[in-house]
Amino acid sequence: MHKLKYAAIQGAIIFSKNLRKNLASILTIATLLFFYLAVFSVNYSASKAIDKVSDIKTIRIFLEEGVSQKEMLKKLSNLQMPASYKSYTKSDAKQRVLRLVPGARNIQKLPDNLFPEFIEMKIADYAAVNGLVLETAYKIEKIGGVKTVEYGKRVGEKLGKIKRTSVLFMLFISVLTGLSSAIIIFNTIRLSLFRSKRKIMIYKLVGATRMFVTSPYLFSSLIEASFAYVIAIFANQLFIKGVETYLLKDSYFLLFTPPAIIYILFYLLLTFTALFSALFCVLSFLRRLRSLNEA
Amino acid sequence: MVELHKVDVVYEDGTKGLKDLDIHIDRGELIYITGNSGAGKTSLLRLLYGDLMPARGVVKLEKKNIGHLKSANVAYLRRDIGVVFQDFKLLEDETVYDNLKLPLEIFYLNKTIIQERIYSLLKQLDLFTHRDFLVRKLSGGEKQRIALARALINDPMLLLADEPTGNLDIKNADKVMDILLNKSKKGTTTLIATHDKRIIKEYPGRIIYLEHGKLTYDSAGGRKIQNA
Repeated sequence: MHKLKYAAIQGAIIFSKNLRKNLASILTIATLLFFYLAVFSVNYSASKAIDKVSDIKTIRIFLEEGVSQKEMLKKLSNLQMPASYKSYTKSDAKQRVLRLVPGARNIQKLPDNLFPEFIEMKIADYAAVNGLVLETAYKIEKIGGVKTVEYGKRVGEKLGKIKRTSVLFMLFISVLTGLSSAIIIFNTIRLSLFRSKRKIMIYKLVGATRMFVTSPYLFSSLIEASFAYVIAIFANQLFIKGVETYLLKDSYFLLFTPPAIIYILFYLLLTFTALFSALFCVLSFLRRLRSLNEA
Repeated sequence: MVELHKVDVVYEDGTKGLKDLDIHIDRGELIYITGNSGAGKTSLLRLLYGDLMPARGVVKLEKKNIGHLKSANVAYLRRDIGVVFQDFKLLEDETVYDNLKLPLEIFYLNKTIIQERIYSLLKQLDLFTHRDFLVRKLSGGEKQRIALARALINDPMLLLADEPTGNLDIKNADKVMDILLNKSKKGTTTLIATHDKRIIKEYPGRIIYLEHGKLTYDSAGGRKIQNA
């Protein structure tokens, strides 16, 4: 505990001593993180919107000839879904098409029996999430007497593809952001090490262990990463507020902001990256450090 | 206390720094390692504080083989050894106090203990009033005494000094030698690599003479080494 406290204090000293010289690097990391968080927020929001659109709550169930709607409603109620049901006779089905395509006069002339009977099932809002609609539709397809089930499958699949692409894109820029942050932190720590080269040589001469020399730099990198992250979070919040207040003002659309746990997770990933980068930097520096005698 | 048996040191370029060295040193001895430039004086000191590894032979400190220590263990070896250089190797832009703090910090001592130890040593060396001075503002003699204080602050069992009086005038050289002699009398084994014939004469001790990395004379028993 005492060693940890010492390392933390020394890390804070190293950070504050080098703050002015490292400010450009810290702002670069903060900008990088801000861009990442902004892209993530927009992507997250779009992804959530895709979920809403692709997970259409309505399922239409078309029956085989001779199967009564009453009988089918009984079977559907066995699924115990939080849903409401509406039966469409052939005439209702024709009226529905006419409502959807108001200018189609020719349809009016068609006889009612050309339009298939069906049951419309509307799943409650709170339950229509995470592929439940899709799952229910698959279950209904297996019920005897069901001819076909319609649930906006194609739209869902297309949007699903877009969503998967966006997830891949986010993964790619996550790796890129992580690598860039690691390289910048590596460089700032390396510069700090070079500034304290003689001191480190003396520490080695008087018997300092590798851990003694390394740990303050780990803390320093941790503070640096945290500092940059706080700036990035602040900028991202301003960005979200700005987008909602000005860009989306009249669109009746709001960004879905990621939950706090996501930000905590990002912070943990960033600190892990910073620690790993600093550790690698100090150890490689110490390995190449010449003896004080030759300095 | 220190034993070297058939020790060879080879530099990175392949040249031999020390050849077939056999030396036995007892606790509390004051030893001058002398010889011409390139004779291997500094290499012998570096070998003892783990900065060079022997290519062959055995190096023992307090019966412990220190010849092939892992780098992690070299750190612990150095805690028992104080080293002084001709060019002081101090942090010029820091205060005397901050320079002396370095060897104590590695033990994670608290501030009060660090302060007590530094003040006590500075008083002994008559440098207490200089504690808050920047090192670069000190004279050569004062810097060397600070460097000596840094080497002594952890009360080492072995003190290695590489040309400690090389940059000093006679008065300051004597001050440094008085401290070294005093420490040696109190039981600290002291090895001084030097060219300075005056101090060897005025502060008697055992003399080891090296030539091209070989031991050619050892005053212990007044013997001249055969086959040198």
